[in-house]
Amino acid sequence: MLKAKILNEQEINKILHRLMYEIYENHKDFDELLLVGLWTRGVFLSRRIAEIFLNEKGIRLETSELDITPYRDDLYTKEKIALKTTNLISTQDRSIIIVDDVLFTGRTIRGAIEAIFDFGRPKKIELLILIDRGHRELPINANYLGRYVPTSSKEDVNVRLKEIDNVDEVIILE
Amino acid sequence: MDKILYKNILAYFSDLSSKRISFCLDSLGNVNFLDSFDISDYKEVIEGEDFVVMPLLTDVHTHMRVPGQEEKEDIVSGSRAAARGGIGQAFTMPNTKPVVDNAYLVDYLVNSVNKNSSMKIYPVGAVSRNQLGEELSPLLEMKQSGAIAFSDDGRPITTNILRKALIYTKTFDGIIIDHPEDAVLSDGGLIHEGRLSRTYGIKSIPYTSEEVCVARDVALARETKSKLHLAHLSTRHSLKYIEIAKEDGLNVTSEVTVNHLIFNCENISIFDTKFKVNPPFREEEDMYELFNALKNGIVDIICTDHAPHTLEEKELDYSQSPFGTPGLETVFAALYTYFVMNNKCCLEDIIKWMVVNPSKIFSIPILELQNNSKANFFIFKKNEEFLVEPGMFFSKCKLSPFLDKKLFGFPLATFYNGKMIYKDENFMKTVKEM
Amino acid sequence: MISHLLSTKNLDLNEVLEIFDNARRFLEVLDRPTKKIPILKGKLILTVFFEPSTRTRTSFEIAGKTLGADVVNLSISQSSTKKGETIKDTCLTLNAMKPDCIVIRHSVSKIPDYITNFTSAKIINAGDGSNEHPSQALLDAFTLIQHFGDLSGKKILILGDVLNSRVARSNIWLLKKFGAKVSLCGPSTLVREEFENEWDVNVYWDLDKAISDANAIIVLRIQLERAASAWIPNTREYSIFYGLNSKRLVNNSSVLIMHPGPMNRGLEISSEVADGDNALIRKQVTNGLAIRMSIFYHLLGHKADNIVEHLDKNNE
Repeated sequence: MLKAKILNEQEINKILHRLMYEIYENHKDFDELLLVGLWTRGVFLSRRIAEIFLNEKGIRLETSELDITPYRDDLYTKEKIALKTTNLISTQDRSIIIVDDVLFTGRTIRGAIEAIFDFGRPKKIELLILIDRGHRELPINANYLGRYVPTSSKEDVNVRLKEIDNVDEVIILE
Repeated sequence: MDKILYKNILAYFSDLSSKRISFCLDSLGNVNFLDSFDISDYKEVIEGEDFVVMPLLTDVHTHMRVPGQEEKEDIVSGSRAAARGGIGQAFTMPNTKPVVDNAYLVDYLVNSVNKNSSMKIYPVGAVSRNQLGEELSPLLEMKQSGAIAFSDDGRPITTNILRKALIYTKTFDGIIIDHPEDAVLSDGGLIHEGRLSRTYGIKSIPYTSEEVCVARDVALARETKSKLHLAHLSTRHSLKYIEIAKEDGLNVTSEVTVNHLIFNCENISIFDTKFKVNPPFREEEDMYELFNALKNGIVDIICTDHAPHTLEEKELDYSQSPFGTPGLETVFAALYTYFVMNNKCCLEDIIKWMVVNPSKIFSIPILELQNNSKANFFIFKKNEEFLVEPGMFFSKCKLSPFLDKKLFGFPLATFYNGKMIYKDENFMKTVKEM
Repeated sequence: MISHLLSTKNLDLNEVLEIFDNARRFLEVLDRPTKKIPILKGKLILTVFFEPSTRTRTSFEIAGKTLGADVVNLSISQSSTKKGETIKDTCLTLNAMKPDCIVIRHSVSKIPDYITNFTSAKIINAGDGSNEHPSQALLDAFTLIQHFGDLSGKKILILGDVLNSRVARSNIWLLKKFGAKVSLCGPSTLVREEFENEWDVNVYWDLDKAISDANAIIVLRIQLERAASAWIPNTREYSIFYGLNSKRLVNNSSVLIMHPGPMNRGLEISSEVADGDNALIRKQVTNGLAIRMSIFYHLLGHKADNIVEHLDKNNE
């Protein structure tokens, strides 16, 4: 049941642009930078950010996709989950930015960090998140944050992106 | 036991007649037919449309596992099982440990049986020493000690021994019973060779294993003109030889187990060891044609091939578990339920196949209800249904292929030579169980 | 969804496609420097082989370990079984060590089904007598789909001792689910005419004819150590009339070649063909790893079912 619409298409776009500039401000060596998008919407967000980098700054950032299903800590409490593709080759000495749409308990990101270490020893790992909805169960926070949206545990935050949902918006459901 | 009145009960006789009759059973087990009676003379009156009295059945093929395999069955459990099945006379096969291939063992069996058995058990002697098919056993001596016939059952009789034995039995007009299987063709097979064995890649026994042996046996019976009985037929392809043998007046007789008339490889689970038997259950058509052959007089006898094994043996996987399934207690109920109740045959047919023909072929008495004689009969009730479950069996082997099935026609009481050798707890309630 | 992988006969096509999808993901893992993901971390897999095997067992072992599981291999000689310990007792004993999965190979058909009664572990049939070898069929179909995309209407020929082959049977049941047209070829003792009606396949006793009508050939090993030897006079005759070599493929040079291994080079298949461009034999091995990983994931990588109940019924 829809409770509220937090962001519309333009607002999402403005946020992504701002995040791109935050990254730009924080990094000097863009060859070493690697955006790792988490399936599903993290992948699309990471591609959008790379595109903004290209259009605004002419810098070509490398992006890759990571399926963290094998690293989930709750596999055995759920029905079988279909796996998605992972095209990470190596994270050795790379400066990684994990990209995901919603940060909640932090467990997904913990899994992503573990996965990233399985591909090599990264130089650094940062986290880019579109919406932080609170309720952390692990000591994990975003380096680059779109918006903080406090929610109750009964609510759910849905990020919808054109690539898969035909619309760009962020809504809260109850 | 005080006097019991059986009032106007339908009884069947070995001359294939049937009539309603009243008789009394006294404390010594004597039967007296009555034209009139005063109910007050009797402790209990048995009356009802549905009760049927039958002659005692003869099972010409069982394995009582004595001597040496008493963990599977012994004379007491085996004879009680037979009694429960309405069987008054049974033949037991010699493939025991040791094999019954000499007069001493026949003698031992005959005495053990007389001491411990509820009904009459006849030992079948082995045709060859240790059933190895190399040397003849002392058939004359064994016959004198009480062997009813000779067989290497469990395995086929070798050609060499079979011919010699057929000629030797002329001395005393004896009967050879052969287990028709060509060991080379059956070689390690577990189930019938057909669609299922091909689908699951299982070693199988082609029907020709039996047919080839039946052809051989009939040819030798023809040459020697001796008495030959073919055990547990399983395939319709064996029938043509027997039909011609009978037309030509040869002394060739044969039997089918009740199970081979009811089960085929498609209506059972071939991996359930309760259904693992040799010869295997073959095709539906075999079932039908064997039954027709019984009706046409080409096949003479129905038996059980009662082959009990221990629980440990039957719970092995199907490739390791020994062949054989129990059958004494269910044979009549199965025939009654599957055939008489479905009008495929009548009680007179069953009497032919399990009372009259065994008596004719093996020269043994017929035990049935007779005036001024010791009681010999069993009684059952039409329409009384029983759920077959392990607790009902007297046999040491409870793994009947009929488990969890509902059958009609189980005997409610069986009398042998005046003694009540079996009684259902809900029948003749005034009479204490044995 | 299946709890055990015992046969391909009863597999649902959708489940098979799921297994294939995940297998593609697992192929990616095999190309990484760190060939390990923790998806089955902490799971115990026992491989219990009553019949010797190196390749299949190693394939399952590597698959399990790549997924982070602990894999323990047991070779149980058949003679010790005859000495008294029944399969039932072996399984009850193993089950007491609480494995999550048992991979079993045995020389008697349907034993894997039988042992489901004595353990709560998920059972994978790695070959039971001449009955089935489902993981092989899955990797074979997966390999064919990699090349053809879709198997509907594709003509797949299985060449060799079909009578005694569990690989053949599992493949036939599975390929037909995909709508492939299956043919069998070999001497009439090993490829019985009854197969045609009973299994709805084409039976050829002439190799040239069979090849002309095929898009792919699965070449079976002539199993000298098994029953085949009783049904053919000798391997030389078999090789002359049913051995696959380049000459035989002249009129159908694009046909794909597969073999479950191990190969008898020069007997059922020539080196030229085995090492040729159309041979997918190495691919089959790699795909085998990915498929077996996917099978483990399919059976183990989710919430456990309540299998404990049925086990209690068997223990008084």
